[in-house]
Amino acid sequence: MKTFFYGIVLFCVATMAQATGPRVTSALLTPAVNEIFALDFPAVLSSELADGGIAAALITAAFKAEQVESTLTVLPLKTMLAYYLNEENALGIAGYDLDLSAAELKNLIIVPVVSLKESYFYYRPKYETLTWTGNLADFKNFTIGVNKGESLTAYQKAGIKIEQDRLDARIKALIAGKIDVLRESDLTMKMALAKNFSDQQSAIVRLEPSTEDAIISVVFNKKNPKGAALAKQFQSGLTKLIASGQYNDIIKAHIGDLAMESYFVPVHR
Amino acid sequence: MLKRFVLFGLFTVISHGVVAEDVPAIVSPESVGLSSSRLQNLDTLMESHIAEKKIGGANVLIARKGKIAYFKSFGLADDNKPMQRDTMFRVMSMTKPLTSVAIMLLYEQGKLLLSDPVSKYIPEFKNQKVLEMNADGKGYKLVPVKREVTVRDLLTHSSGLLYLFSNNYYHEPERKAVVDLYKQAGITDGFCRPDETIGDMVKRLARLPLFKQPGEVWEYSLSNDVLGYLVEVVSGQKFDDFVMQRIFVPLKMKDSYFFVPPEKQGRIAAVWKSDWHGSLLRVDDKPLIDADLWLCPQDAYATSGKYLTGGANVISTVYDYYRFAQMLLNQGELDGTRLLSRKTIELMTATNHIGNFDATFLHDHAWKFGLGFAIQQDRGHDVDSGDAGVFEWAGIYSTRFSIDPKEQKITIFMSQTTPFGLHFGLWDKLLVQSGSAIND
Repeated sequence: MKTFFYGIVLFCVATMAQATGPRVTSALLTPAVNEIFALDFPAVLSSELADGGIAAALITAAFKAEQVESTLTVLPLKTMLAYYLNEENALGIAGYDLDLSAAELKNLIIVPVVSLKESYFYYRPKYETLTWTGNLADFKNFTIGVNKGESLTAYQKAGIKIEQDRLDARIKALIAGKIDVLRESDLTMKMALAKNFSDQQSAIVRLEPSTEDAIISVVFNKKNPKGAALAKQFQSGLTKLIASGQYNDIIKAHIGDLAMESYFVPVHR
Repeated sequence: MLKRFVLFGLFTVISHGVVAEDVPAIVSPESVGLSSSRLQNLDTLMESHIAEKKIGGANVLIARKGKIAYFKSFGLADDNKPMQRDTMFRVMSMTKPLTSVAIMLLYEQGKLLLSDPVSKYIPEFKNQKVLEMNADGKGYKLVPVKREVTVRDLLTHSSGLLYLFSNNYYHEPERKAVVDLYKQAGITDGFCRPDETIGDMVKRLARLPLFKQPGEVWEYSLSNDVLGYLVEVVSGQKFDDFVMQRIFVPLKMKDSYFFVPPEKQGRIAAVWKSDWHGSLLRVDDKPLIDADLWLCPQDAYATSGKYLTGGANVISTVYDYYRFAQMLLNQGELDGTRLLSRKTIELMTATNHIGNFDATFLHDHAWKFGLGFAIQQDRGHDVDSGDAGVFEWAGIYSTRFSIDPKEQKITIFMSQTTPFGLHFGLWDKLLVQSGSAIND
């Protein structure tokens, strides 16, 4: 009986010990599995969107198609992606216009995920008509608004002034006449205008032809022990997605009634 | 005829309740244990600062035992416009205690716990990193947090976040590195209203490295901006709507806003730039920029906007803020309306939330920080507000409030002068005069 009593006491003490302790400790942190660090790209890959956006959904689904668990961490800065890639040998990074050096590219495997049409836009009250032939020289002495962190060399060579800012600020600058044109993906622009500038949608005009496509890729790091193998699995998963039609379904689920071919370009692999 | 017109006018005013509600009753100082003659020292203090052109104008209120005993206006609210009791002020960081109360309202409702990780409501706070400089001083590394940021960390400024403008005053490489990342990511202190929602900013901020490990620092910071967004996530309401509905309306703070309606904007005080040596200039519409400190006084005239910061957005009057302060002093209740319980106010004003750290930003060593205010722990330090247990906070355009629970006394000062760093002496002297007027 006594033994039974001590047994009960011991059980209670042990249970209590398990039930107490700091509420928020490192032990409770969920380690990120197969973490890919992605650069924020408004409308398709962004923490501002409920599910991270189209690109985030495609990346997650491609891994899932191969039964690979993954974590996509969207970061606001290219410098942080570079840090994780170079200083911590991250498994991979994802995004558009990632400014990778030739030395870095030797150790990377690039898998394009989605390609968006990108264009220049102008404000009709400022210019009744504006034309461009696809050559940046047409914009000589103009001020162009581009995304923060975008490569500027081509603009500088063409004698173009640059304003770098977040998209909403660039649209405001366009309307205020502080910049002449801005460059953005057609889909991002469409969504931003509908969300915050609905009364200006008809006044902001897209220039034909489109400029270079914005290709969002996942870039795997061969220096990471899992990098090469996961790149292969990811590519395979993406192929399965496309073949099954799930790839298009994910895009359509995000863009609703918009015509897919107006905003996306097939990814060449 | 004139007499009849005046009587009609008076009737109209009374029938709309303007006189009864808008003019606060002021009692004789002696009736609440204060000395009228000693309070005159305050007149002298304020008038000398105005004569010496250290400040343009100010409103000062002292209340004791639930009654206002001193409420005076000094100097100018704007060029050729005298300061009035109903002049409106950018209270800036005095928004923070309002935000804390908003959080505690949700806490009392059982919508959140102080021990909750913030990531429970804002997933971007999961798996944060802390920036640490490399031993050789070149470059940095990002190390995982030892534990997640909690709601309490945000309330006590122990989250490891920081303010960009702190880089003007404290020169540490890791601080500069974090501030640089903030700038690259378009994070601001919110003193100039950015053109985005507070939620978008907070989600981006959460993905940037912390300055210190959560709970291992006291660092005045953007924590209240995060709390404002947390109110939105937990309540499902816009932050300004929540504060209006749950704090301003119940407390009858009728001149407190995130966006002042056009018909009241004529009451907003101008901001003055003072060198404290006689150069006093009314600032124009341009932002005031001092390295990493950006101020936009003109933002007070915005009638709408997306960015609702829990750290700095509110515009109010001395009387309105008095009503808020009196509610805190009354342990959660004012004029029969209970906002918070006595137990919650006791928790908010407890001195042991930040352990051995000190809340030195406005005060001195051994000042502690509760859930929204600095609290005087004892009498053993240079900056003394009159009693252990006094709690207070201030705003960057030179506003300050101080609540002394033991003496049942509230002191509120509001000016609109920059830079704020020159004002500590005036604020401290004002509290000395306020305390010295006690005569029972």
